[in-house]
Amino acid sequence: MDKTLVEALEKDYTTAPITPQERVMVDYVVKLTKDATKVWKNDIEGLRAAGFDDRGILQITLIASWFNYINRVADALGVGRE
Amino acid sequence: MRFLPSADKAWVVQTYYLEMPDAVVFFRNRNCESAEVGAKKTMTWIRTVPLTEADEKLRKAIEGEQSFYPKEYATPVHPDASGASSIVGSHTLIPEALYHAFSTFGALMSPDLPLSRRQHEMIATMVSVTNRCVY
Repeated sequence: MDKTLVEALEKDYTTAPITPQERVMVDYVVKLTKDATKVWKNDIEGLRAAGFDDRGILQITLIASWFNYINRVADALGVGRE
Repeated sequence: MRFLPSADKAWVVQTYYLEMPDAVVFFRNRNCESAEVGAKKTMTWIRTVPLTEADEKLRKAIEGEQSFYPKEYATPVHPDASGASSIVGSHTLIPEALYHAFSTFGALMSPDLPLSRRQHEMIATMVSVTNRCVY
């Protein structure tokens, strides 16, 4: 991704220049990250409707979960902090 | 922890690649709390084992997980003296966990899977933004 897109995502991903399919993916990633218990079957169906197959949905879920793991390790152990 | 001056309270964000011994991984440096905006910091708050001091078990764990990284992630950027990255380094006291954690990442970046690198990066960015994380 170029820097402009990264900054747009950081500022407000809902207005970032991404495709409708990417928007569905990002909505899911944000929801999973905030509170995975809020994710429901309709979210998975939404990903399918956007064009992701179940392998893709699994990959999105695992990458998002992996980065959540890394974020917590990094924050808790001071990686990148003082 | 030090906080940004009030004039800079808005999140200050920098995107960069976090180097690994033989891989470059897209990470975001979201500088939430440090006054050293944009500075690259590599220290952790627990003891870590530098690559130069790694025993055979740790070396094999690091070499093993590296083997999972796709070629497009293979250009090192700013490698440190030991050749290891801080996030990998944070796992060095438990080599088995290091191996499985970073092998998983490498497997998930495989070009044989449905998502593109742009999508990988988008996911990583949004997780870190949502978590207000330094990574």
